[in-house]
Amino acid sequence: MSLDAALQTFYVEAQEHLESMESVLLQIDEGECNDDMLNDIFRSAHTIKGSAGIFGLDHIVSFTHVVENVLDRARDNEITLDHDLINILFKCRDHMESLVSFSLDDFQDETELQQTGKSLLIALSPWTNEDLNSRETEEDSTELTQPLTNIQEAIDDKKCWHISLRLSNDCLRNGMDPLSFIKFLASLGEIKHIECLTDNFPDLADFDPENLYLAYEIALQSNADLATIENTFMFVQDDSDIVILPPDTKIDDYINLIENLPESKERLGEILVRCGALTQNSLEQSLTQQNQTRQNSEHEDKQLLGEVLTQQSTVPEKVVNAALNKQKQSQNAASESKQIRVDSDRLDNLINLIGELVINQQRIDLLAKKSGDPSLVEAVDDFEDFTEQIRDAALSLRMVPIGGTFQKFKRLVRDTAQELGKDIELIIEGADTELDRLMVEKLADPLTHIVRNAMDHGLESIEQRQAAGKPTKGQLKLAAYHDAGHIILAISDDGNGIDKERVREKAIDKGIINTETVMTDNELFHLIFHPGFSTAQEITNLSGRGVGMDVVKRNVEALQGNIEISSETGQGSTFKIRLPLTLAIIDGFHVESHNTHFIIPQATIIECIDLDAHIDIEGRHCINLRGDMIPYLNMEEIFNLTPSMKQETNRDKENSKRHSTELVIVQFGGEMAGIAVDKLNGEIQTVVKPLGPIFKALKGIGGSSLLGNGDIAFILDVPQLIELAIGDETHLTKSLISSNENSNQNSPTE
Amino acid sequence: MAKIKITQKRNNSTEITFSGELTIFCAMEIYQEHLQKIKLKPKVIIKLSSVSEIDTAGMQILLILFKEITKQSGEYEVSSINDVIRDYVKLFNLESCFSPSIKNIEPQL
Repeated sequence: MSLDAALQTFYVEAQEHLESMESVLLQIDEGECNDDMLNDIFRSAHTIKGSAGIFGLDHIVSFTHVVENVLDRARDNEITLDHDLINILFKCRDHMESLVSFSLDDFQDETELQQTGKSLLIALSPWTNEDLNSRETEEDSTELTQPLTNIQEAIDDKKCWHISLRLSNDCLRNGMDPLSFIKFLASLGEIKHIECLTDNFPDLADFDPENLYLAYEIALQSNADLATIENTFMFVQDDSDIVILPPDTKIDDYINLIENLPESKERLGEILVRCGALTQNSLEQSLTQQNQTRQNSEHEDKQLLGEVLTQQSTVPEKVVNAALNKQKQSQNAASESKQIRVDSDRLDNLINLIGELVINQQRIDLLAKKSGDPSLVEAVDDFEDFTEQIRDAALSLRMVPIGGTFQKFKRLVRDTAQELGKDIELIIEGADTELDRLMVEKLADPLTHIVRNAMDHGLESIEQRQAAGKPTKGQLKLAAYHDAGHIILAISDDGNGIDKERVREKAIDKGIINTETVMTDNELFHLIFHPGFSTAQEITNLSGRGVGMDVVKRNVEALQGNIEISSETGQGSTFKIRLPLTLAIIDGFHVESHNTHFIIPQATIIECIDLDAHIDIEGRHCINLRGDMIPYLNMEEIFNLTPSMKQETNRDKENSKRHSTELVIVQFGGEMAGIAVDKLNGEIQTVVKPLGPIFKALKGIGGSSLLGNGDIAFILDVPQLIELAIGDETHLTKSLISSNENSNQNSPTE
Repeated sequence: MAKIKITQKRNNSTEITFSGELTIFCAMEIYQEHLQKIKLKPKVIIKLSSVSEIDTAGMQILLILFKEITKQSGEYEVSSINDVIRDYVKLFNLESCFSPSIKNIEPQL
């Protein structure tokens, strides 16, 4: 692993730890608090500090050290995490996040950031000072008493760890200098002694200047636990022999160490004596003892090492526990290793390739049918089945649960509520709902805008809520669920709702509509997406500038989704963002109109009916379907399709006034509409290819796709078509009414 | 980048002066260009006062040089060092290598 890659891992892991810190802080803030959580958050801070230390990111280490200190005290129940402290810890977490995003060099130039760090440390001081003071007094007292009692000395000695480092030869080559580990160890306590072993140096001719030959024996006086010290070497564990002996290790273990190390025993013994791990006497004694026991044990059956260790109880409990923990961790790591991080570009590439596969599969399908060979057709059918499965599997790779995104809002809601002096509870539903990763990323901003708006304008202040007889705690709900092949993200609040009158006034004010315009509620609500539109009477730093909601709409539409707003005055409002499940490959329904191919996304289709069999309401594109009035659109009219010459002649032959005969009924949200076409060709897997920017303005078409025979099919944008159909219908109704009125007026004169 | 100046003196000694950054980034170059074909007279004087930075790879270069000199049964003397080197040597208790004359005296605990 090169240094860059290792550093990258650090950044990714730091980010994960920061996220976990945030979620734990949120939980604690909500009143749940137990030892596990405190341990979790401490461990996160601790790991960040540790890894940062290895990379020499001192700015992170120094700040995180203090935070870790406070958390450690909380963990030991010396202090409790009250509201004030949690607030500061949130800020500290944010500060750590910004620290992580800066390199040490950049940090030197960031005076503002440095200032924030300093003020946060000052803010933390009520919780740390005591600690430092007490520690200082502790140290003072030891200094005072040390010369007096040998016992104290013995205790001090006990804190001395022994670390034996035989790092991987490639350590230097990989950009990791033992110097940095040692410097980090120094930050954990005091390095009493380091012995550099130069025994492994080869002759000059065989020397590789990028190999590490030095070995180290280190005596470290520290209160840190085994895991902390072990973590120092996290990045070099592979291929390295690292032995860490805790302070109260029995002499025998040192002897074992000596036995296992490659250097000569006598020399190692001397070194350990120099490190203060052993005294000359004890070394000699145990070496003789060991020789004896070895002779004895040769007569006995060979025991397992573990048994020997337990029998002799040479392994302190701490070490056993640490080892057990370590095993648990590695089990966790094993389950983690079932996940791999993949570059998203590679995934996109895979999806593209599968798109091509699908197209080719269709070509083969077509050829097979043409050939009429039944066994070939059957084989191709099987092939199609597998293609579909591969497609689904590949697409599912891109799916991530929306929960992660929702989780981030907890913090936003908490902070904003505090800022606004409101009491707001965030409820999350359907966090497991999976969504295309791309969409999750692009949704973060729109969601933030809507959530902020809901908190700022929607939910009332505590006093207003009390006056309205509502519970003081406002509710904000984020929900995600599936609906007819789409994902719905609903953001609802139980606030005041959207003030229709004010929206109207404002719209007239801004000249978006005129005083006579008649609008449905939905249309009225959609006015808030107009650029520069804001009904807020005062502008806060959160929202009210009218920038944002138009961006929200644009972002959602870019994802081929739409937004539905419903609002009830005094009851609250709901924003529903409706999104397609995936953008890359969809199940489509292949239809034809005047030899032009269209694909209707299958998820939107309810049924196909025969248009002629239904009563067409005269002069209006509407049919009566089992009592419901369904507007429909004729493809040939909308897209001005002109029949080809061949068709003309056919038509002459048929000598009938031909029109579209099939009607596909589609649904989107609560609306239904029909699409009239000539021919239904059936289900088809559709690879969505976006249309070029020239076609952006084209309403009703969402993309294109290549058919198996090489023809191009247009993918219909059903929501837009429905809008069009309903719009046409209302327009027609109005014109009909007015023309009736006109004719009524005109009739007497005639 | 590190610079090495090797001067063969008339009084049967070699003077080696290291300057600049003595780190992993130039360790290979120093080894290939200078150390591999180094000719040493029985007495070697090593000057380190202009070294601006040293890391473990750099230290290994010095240590292998010391070893080579000793192997060729020569003597060496580190005639000048600076704080950069001093700090490193002190941290890793390498004093004995840098002052070979007191080689046999155990460093104090």
